[in-house]
Amino acid sequence: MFRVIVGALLAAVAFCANAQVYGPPITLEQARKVMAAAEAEARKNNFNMGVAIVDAGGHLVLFQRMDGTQFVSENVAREKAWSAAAYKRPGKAFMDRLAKGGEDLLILQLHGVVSADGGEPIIVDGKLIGAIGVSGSSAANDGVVARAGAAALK
Amino acid sequence: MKTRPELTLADCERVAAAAVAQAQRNQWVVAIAILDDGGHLLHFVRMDGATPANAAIAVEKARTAALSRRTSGSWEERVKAGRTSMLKMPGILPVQGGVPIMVDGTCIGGVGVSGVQSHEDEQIAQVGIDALLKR
Repeated sequence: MFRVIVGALLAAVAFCANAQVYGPPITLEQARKVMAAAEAEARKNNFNMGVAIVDAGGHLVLFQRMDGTQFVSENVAREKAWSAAAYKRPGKAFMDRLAKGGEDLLILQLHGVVSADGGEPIIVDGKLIGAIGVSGSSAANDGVVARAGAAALK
Repeated sequence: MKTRPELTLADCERVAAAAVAQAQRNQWVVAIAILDDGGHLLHFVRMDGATPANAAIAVEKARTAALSRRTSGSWEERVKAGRTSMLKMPGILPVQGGVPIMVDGTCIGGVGVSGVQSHEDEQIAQVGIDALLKR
């Protein structure tokens, strides 16, 4: 039984394995640009948010929590960023697959996955150099802000 | 009713900017964490070249200071004096480099720094706090 589950899990990962390669870790200067773009998008919409930017290894590089943001947004934003870096894909990709149900529900068993919108890989010159995670509003709003941040380096 | 001050994003940016400038003046590379008085992350900066370990250590030093309302260095001193039981205190990293942010006797948060020698880490944290409180 265990083998069947593990096999199915591996199949689930392999099925969606991402060819994206990791690049050099994001620099602080690059991270500041991503943060500025994300903050601008959040302010435009009057969102209070926690925003985390991690390097290609999923380790924190830059974080800020706007005034009045719930404190748990630290954890959620960091986990969204980690998931996007580790699986080389946005949280929304998992969210959409889960919505289809069936075999893809196995995603819920994958290590550290945050299957919600608001986590985006940061890609420069075709390589993943880090990721951004956003928390504080609805998943869709978090996603808008995360994508605005990631787009700053495109 | 008792009221107390609260760190804003602008306050955190001021602390972080002063701390980064102090590190750069000395060509030091560090991670800097600023937490609120509940021990929750408000602001974080890791300079290029600072390690993932520095990132985690900076947060733990800041948490130690924010929650105990004293420097993490003071906990290190107690351990050095022979109180080895202090190594088992919950949520305490007894290593110099974490400083509480005190306003009129009330702790409103903590700053933790990791990357260079621990007395230098503490100096960076203090410079950051001074930029906020001594102006």
